[in-house]
Amino acid sequence: MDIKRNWRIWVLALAVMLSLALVLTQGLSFGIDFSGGTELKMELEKGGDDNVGLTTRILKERLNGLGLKSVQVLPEVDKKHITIKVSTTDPAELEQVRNILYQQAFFEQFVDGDLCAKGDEIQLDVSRTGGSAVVTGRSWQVFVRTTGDGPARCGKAMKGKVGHMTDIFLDRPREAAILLEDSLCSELAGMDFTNNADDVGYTDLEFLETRANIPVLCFTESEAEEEEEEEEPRELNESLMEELGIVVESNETGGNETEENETVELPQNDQVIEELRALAGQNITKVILSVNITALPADIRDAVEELNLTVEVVPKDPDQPFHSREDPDSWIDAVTGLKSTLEIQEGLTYGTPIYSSVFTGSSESPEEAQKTVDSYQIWLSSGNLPIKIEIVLEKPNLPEFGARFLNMSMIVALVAIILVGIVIAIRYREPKISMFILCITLSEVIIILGFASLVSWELDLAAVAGIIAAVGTGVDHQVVITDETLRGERKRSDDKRLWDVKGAINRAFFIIFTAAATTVGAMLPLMSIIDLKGFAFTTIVGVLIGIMVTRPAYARIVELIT
Amino acid sequence: MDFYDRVFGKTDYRILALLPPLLGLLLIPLAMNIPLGIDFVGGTEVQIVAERALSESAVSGAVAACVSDAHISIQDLGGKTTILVKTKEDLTKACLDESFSSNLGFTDEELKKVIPSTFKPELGRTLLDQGINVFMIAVILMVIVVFLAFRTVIPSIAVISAALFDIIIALGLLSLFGIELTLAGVAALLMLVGYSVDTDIMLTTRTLKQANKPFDQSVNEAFVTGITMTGTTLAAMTSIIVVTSFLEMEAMAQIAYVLVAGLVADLFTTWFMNVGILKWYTGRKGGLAPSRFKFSLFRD
Repeated sequence: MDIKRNWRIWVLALAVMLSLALVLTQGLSFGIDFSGGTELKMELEKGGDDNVGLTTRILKERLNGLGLKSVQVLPEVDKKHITIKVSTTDPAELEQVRNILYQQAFFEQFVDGDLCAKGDEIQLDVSRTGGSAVVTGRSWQVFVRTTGDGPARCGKAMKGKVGHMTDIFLDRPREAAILLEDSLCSELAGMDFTNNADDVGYTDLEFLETRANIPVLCFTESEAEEEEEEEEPRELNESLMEELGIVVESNETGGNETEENETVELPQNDQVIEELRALAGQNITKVILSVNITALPADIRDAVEELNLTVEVVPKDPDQPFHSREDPDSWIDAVTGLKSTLEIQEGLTYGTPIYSSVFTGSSESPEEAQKTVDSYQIWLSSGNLPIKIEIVLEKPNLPEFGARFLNMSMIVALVAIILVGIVIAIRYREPKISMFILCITLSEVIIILGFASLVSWELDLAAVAGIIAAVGTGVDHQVVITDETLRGERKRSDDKRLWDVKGAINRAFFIIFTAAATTVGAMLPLMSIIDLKGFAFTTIVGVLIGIMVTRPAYARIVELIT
Repeated sequence: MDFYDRVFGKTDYRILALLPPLLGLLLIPLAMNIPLGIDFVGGTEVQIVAERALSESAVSGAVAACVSDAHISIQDLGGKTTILVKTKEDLTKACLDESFSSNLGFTDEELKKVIPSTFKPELGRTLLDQGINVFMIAVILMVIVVFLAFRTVIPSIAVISAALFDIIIALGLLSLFGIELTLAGVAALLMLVGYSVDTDIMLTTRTLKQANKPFDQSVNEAFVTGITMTGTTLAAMTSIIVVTSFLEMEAMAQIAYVLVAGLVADLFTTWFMNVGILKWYTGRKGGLAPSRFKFSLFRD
């Protein structure tokens, strides 16, 4: 075929092949209507741009930490509601989601392990003219105010500590201890902790124990399983007895015992258990592990269960270090909630109360600086979301229903296409034309799906309806093109007068362009309603693909076959 | 090719032209009072999956213990049953749990997954307001596009009023048959605008932009094209109604109902009302159409 004259057909063929390749390699992502998931609607106590924007960012950050397959946090146009779509219908996971939504994250600022400010003692300085956050090129500043006990405590904590580091934590585990196996402890002890260019003098282990204030207990891996099993009953009895006694008592005796026992070659794990007991007697309610509880030596496992400690597992990737400045998701960051480390400047270190201060630094690029500032705003506001929120709707879409919807959508589409084909066949009584119209229609569907795959648009029920709408208009427009051209054709043979096929096609395209523009105009405002966004999106994409790719190609095909 | 003339030629075009607006005006009260679905007025929806086969009457009985009026649809998935309950009343989890465990023997594990979603009426109101706003903006944008395309007042007004009457008649018919309007229906109404404008623009272009052709002949030719356009869509939508009557799928059914009602209305507004307006308009202009047509983006 002559490529120069028929380039429109080639463009169509190329688009179809590309789309097919995209759909086959990338796949399509389906929304919660089809794949199952839950839609939650949050209502803000008070609406407005600032509230809804910040709340959206905070909720997104919190939910992303859950590790669900897909999380969407979508502010609504009324600026008073936020729709959240999560890809789970599991009751336990939903409970987690609810907790996270209502949870108040806790901000803490430490200096060498001494608390400076916490919770809502520290806030963004919103009264400052010029805003509480300033980005100039690559450098950034966040202005904060300290209230309550904060100013005095910060003054004391920073006294004489020019050049020391101050650490910022969000949701630092306040009642937890870390349980690690020996080898990992030595790894921790052997690494220098650096979370800031000028951050020196601490190993990873020291950071955890001193700066983050979380006790670290190291146990030895069970070498001889049988031996331990033998020991188990004895130990259980022992621990039962201890449990019956008073905690303080067991503390005292425990301390003596271990010192004695260490020389009598009892495993180090007994000491760990004693320490665990002591900590539980204080305020520890949780242990953080890097492995599953079942991987712990039996005696320690029993102790954890007996002391009724909750277990949190933060898996450690053996190929990754415990901490790296570049990786904000490193193990230490995840465990401690460490967000940032800044150097203390002179002026804050005289021991006098600090009422206002500024977090400052510079990033790799202006964009990075903006991101940092955004993050600070989130961290500082996390103690209290800018506004109270309430879950006003919780709508689970069970996967069983979704799968059926998807099947039915396909049946509906198939039946619809067949019926359209029948109507076209009756009208034109020309198999070639019917065939081409159906082919073009199918290519249009394929290209829309290809585009959705390209931009990873989640297909929901509304999107499928949009595809039907786009295809419907597509068929209409092909009928217009066919009729305009065929009339021209008929005229030419009837009148022996030269009929301008191009003119006819131009007129057809006037109709098509006007109709397409009207449809796009009608659909654009719909983008603002979250549940209908998918509909508007696929319709607009379909109409645009129609006027740019498929309609021109069809017009050329009709010219060729008449 | 004189199909249109043969069918409608004997009747005065002015009478034909008056019929659709009259019907539209008559249906306005019905359209205004169309029953609204639970996403607009509030209510409860719950999806339930039971790990065994359940009979429809058993489920209905269990639901009836909690609410007096509910729409229940049940699908047997071979050993599994999916149940969808929709009601405008308050359906609490406590009541469902109680009734489903005593009447249908649901286990605690199964009940855990039963989470009724309650749509608050205020929320529905907000959504309805949003829907109306969006609809207004969409209509304004459509008006702008049509005026820009034709740049003549009367034909543009004809196209727009046809679309508006289509919407009114569609809503009126749905209301007459007691079909509730849901959010998907709003989308369908905008789809309808698109389809309605398609045929009207086609008719207007054919009659006004071909000055060398008699008006009636243009209408006859346009009619055949228009019927094909509307016919394909009607066929597709009717097939959806048939399919969804066996396989419950509310959103799709809603779209199909709105479009079928609207497209039937469109046949009248386009081929009675608009043909009449255009005939009167070209007659007043002395049979000569304005020759403003200079549209040729697609030139070889």
